[in-house]
Amino acid sequence: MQRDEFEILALEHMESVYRMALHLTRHADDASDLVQETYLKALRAAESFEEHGGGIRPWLFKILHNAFYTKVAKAQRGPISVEAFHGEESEELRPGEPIPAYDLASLDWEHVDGRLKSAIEGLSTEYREVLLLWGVEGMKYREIALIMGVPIGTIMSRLHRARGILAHQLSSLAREVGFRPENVDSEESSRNLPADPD
Amino acid sequence: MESLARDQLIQRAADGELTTAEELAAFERHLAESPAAGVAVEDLRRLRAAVQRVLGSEVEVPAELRERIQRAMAAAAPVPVMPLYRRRWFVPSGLAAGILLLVGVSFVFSFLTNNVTDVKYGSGFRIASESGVPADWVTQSGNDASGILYDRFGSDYSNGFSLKAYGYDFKGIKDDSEMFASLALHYERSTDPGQQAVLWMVQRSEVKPDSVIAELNSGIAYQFSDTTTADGTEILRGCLAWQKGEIIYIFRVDAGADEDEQIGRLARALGMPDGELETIP
Repeated sequence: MQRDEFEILALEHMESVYRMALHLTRHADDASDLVQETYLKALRAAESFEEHGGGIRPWLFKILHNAFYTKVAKAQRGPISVEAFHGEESEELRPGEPIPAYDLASLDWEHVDGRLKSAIEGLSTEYREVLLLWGVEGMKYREIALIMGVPIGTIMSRLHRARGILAHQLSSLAREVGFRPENVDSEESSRNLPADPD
Repeated sequence: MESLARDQLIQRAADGELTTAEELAAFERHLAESPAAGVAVEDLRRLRAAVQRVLGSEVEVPAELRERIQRAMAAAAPVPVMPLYRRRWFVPSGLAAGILLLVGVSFVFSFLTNNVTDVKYGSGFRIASESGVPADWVTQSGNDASGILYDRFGSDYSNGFSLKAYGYDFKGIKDDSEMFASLALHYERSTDPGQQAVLWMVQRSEVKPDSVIAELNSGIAYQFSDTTTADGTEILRGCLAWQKGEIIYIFRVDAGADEDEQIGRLARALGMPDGELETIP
């Protein structure tokens, strides 16, 4: 690929790259530095880029991912937190873990969005990253696995776990506004729901 | 079906990851056995839409960052060869060359005055003189030109402007008041500086409504006819034109008729769309 062609292709995705950097770093200045580092590294590695049908975006995200976690690893001086330790351990999917089923269509979406945003911001970086790649960038499991450098099974379990946490948060909201989740048994639901206004 | 396998099937169905006939059939069977599975898939899809809405809002890349990156990428270009005048061996050689230059300058001067319309520009600026662009092109670095283009067009401009790979060197950038008040980029062929190319760029919003280039459509490549008097200037004859985003491009190459293919390649490198050329009379 010619140098100019590469630059055109790469710069087209700057908004996506910047959005990813912003969600990972949660700081505009750090995000800007990360994006610049990503593009310079991409330029130096331009000759190694090969189009495999997914475009240049997954490749740029992988460079960004690696650059971000290299910085994180360097910044970590003490032992990791207990939560992080257990988080890593519990990557494996727990058998029989149900996916809550409830009708989100009846919820007030503005209220949901605010709660959803808070819930996402409370997730670990790995979960936020997988949600962004899946939910916003529309990437397939295989692409996400390549970007994050983990097996597809790990991506599926991270996505499942992240969605489970979000679903639980939204399920709590549904109960607050008086909606009954379908997979909660009737005894529990009658104990926890507010009184029927009618 | 095992609980784990069932949950994974629902996840993958919601994410469009079921690809084989067997997987799709297994999901259909599960749907038939358990209506809750269909609800779960819909909930996951609604959740995805909500995540997209919450996380996917437009982000504005800081203007300073975009410019910084473009400059840094341009600065990463190969370092040019040290100019001749800095090389040690040049000094004594320069003296001899200077004498020869004095001897030959009168011959050259008389030749030029007989062969170009404006001797002030010299043969190296034929296009410049014909278009009315002042000959005082300032040879600028790619960095400076990138900055000028970004200042003028902002994020509308994302195309590269280097034609190095096609044998043309970028020589300078200037405002061209004669050509739609555009920015003009000047190129010279590496192997023959007498062969030049100019790319004019103008923001569509700055084009007068009655101008012929106000009617260009995006996605189409145009060529001005050899007899055009559009906009009252003959300089447009044979020029290629196109619109990309909010920028209109006009491109002229000083080349022979047998190099039409090369001209097309140059224009496409600068962003001209593929396809048949539409003639502008």
